[in-house]
Amino acid sequence: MALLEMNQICKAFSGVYANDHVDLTVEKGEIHALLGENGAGKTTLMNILFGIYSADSGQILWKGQPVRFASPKDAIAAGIGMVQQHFSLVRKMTVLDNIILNLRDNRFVLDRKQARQRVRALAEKYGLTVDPDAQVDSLSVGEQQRVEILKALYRDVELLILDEPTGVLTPQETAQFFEVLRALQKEGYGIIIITHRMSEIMAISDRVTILRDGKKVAQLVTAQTQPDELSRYMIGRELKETYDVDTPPGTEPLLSLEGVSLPRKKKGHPLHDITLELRRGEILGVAGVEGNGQKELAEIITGIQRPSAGRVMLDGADIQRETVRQRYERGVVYISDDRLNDSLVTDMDLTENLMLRDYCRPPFSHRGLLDRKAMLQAAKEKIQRYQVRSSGTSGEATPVRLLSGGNQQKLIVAREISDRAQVVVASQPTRGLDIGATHFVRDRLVEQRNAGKGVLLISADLEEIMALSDRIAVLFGGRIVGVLNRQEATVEQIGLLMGGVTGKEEVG
Amino acid sequence: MVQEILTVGFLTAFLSAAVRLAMPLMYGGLGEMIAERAGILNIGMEGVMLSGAFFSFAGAWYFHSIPMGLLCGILGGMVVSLLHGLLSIRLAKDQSVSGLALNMLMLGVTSFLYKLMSAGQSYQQVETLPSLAIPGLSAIPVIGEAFFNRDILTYLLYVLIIAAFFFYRSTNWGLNFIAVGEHPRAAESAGIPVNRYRWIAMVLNGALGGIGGAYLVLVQLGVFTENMISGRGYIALAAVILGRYTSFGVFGAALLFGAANALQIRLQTIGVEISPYLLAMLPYVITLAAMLGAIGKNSQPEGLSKPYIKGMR
Repeated sequence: MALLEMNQICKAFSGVYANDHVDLTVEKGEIHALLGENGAGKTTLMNILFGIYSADSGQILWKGQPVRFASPKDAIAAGIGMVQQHFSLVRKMTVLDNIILNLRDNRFVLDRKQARQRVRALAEKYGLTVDPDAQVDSLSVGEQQRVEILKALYRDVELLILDEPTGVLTPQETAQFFEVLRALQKEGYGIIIITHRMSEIMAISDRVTILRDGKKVAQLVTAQTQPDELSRYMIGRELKETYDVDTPPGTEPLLSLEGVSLPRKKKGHPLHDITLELRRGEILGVAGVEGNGQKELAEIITGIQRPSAGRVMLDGADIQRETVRQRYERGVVYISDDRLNDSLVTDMDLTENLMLRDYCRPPFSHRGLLDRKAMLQAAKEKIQRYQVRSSGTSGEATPVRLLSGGNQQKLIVAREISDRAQVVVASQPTRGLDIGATHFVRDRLVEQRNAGKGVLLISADLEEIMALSDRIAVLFGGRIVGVLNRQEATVEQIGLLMGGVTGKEEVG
Repeated sequence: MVQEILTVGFLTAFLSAAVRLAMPLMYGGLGEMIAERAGILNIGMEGVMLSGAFFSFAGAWYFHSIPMGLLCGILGGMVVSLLHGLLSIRLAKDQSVSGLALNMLMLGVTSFLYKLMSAGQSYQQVETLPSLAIPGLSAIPVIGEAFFNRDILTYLLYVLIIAAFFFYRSTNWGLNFIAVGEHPRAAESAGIPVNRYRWIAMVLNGALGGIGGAYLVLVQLGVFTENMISGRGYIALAAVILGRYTSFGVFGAALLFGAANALQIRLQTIGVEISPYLLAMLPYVITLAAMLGAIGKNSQPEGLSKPYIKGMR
């Protein structure tokens, strides 16, 4: 008898199937990968299992018994735990308080002493080291993930759902995390891991179920398959994994930072004495775990933040005192990691969002009056060229909040990359995009490089950095801890740098 | 003049007045703290207190009973808070707008009802709560008189302050309330019904704010006058921020405001040569100064004043 059996699950949102007769079975002691592009229905399926949504039709058998969970509370009570992509931890509470939050057998007055002992024991057993009395907002992302897992284990779950668990981890943390999963597997836990990283599926899973467009397209035994087969099932066609970055990179300096520093503020991260050069015709990758100053680096180059020390030079000119708009006019463009907050006005339509950079000058504006016709024409052309698909029938007049993440990103790329662009600052440009959109964005970046422009690619995704960059700088704790040529760089080496292990420390 | 200020008699009277003046702020502040820790900002505290004051007066007047007055005051406060709950929890409307609107509304409603009630009679007064000295404690010099020779509502507040501290620190429900205010989605995924907790917080907010208003009528003045809260609801909001969202903090902050007010009154009666208008500003200047001093120390719940809609990202 399988631990979990989901049969013919259907779920539609306003008439569109998110899950279309999907099956999934998980055994005890199995690590089962759930693979699919964004919007393939992975998260919907898991949310149905976890009681967040209810299925329109279909059956869930939990240890052979038909069940239907009305809320996560019911699912947890039955023995199913889920670690969401965005952690649900209360930052101002301690690890321990987060773990024991609203437990069924909590007495009115909490017994923290006993709980602390149990957390310590669990943590030790599975290598989930974390201090129970630390406040959550003082923990690294990897530690927070351990807290989430402890939280589930503490509730005696038998099946653990992990939604994109490795996206925020360094390679070393990922390796450690896989050790934890193997330990859990040995104890008989069932584990469902949602991911789109082939290498991880191959490394950790026993079986894999692939979803495409809400349908189950295959269930395979991992040991009997290959990444290219998985990818074929997932997108229905094969994709080239290489990019035309083979032309030699340029040598002429374009943008340089000299001793740029930023003090620690209430929100955000400090930078210490950053010296970096971006050349014409190259992609300079900036690797690092998020929260090590990436955002601040991007914002200092684009002019959103001012450094407390150091200089920013573009083409030999000091642009230190220039505003965001002045820098844009010189060709500094920005694809932010936070689409919805930094790059788009979500209630405005496609045309208006495409014009956010250029509305104020001819041909779109004459003596302070907007020329809507010229805007619409330019927008139509960009939408077509960049294949931005709006779901509605209103085309260019669709509010961008109704667009999928991939199309929103294409829209931003369409706006930022123009003839004007000289320096493209692209921060996590493919995060959350499906494979098709990811390739589209990467192709555009490579095009810019080949056209002799400079691309600063900030990404936490090492595969992306390795695939695209000519040189790779690693950011850790607000410092550049190393700059490597791609030919001489290895994933292990960069991974160590990302974790703050520099050559010197290793020797010492 | 300095000698006049530094006598035991002056200090005793001053501290006693400070506690008395702080009491409505303490009740209002505690009620507001409970709401805000659950994520609901009730700027309508002024209206809640005004409603509590009016209905406690009306209740005490018609039933000739202080307990009935208190009960009516509590209910009057609750109705306003629940209205705020309806707008901000159920309908997920902007909490600041809702709170301000309620303040305006309650000013009109209470003035109107008071006119109806007092038609023909120019002056009405109700009985006030007597003081009960706590044997032993009330004999402590200066402090005893100020803190332990008081009415029963003051003693109730001491109990509530300590109970609230213990509740948030050591109980399962207390932890749940914190989670609801800090991170409602995390609370929901731990199986806590977020909006039900917020409703409970609003009930307590109304009850305590109602007592705060009723205190003015049933303990201090024995009468109702139009707009008699005159900004105390807003000061209670400030006390919550200054008190860092803890019950003892609110107690201390309210006491500070009470002391500023008491000092101002005392200085006027002594005849200090400063314009009484300037002196009357003292409590508000202290409020502002205290808020400036608290800049950068953010202890505000992260989910404050954000409506929680289930299933929305």
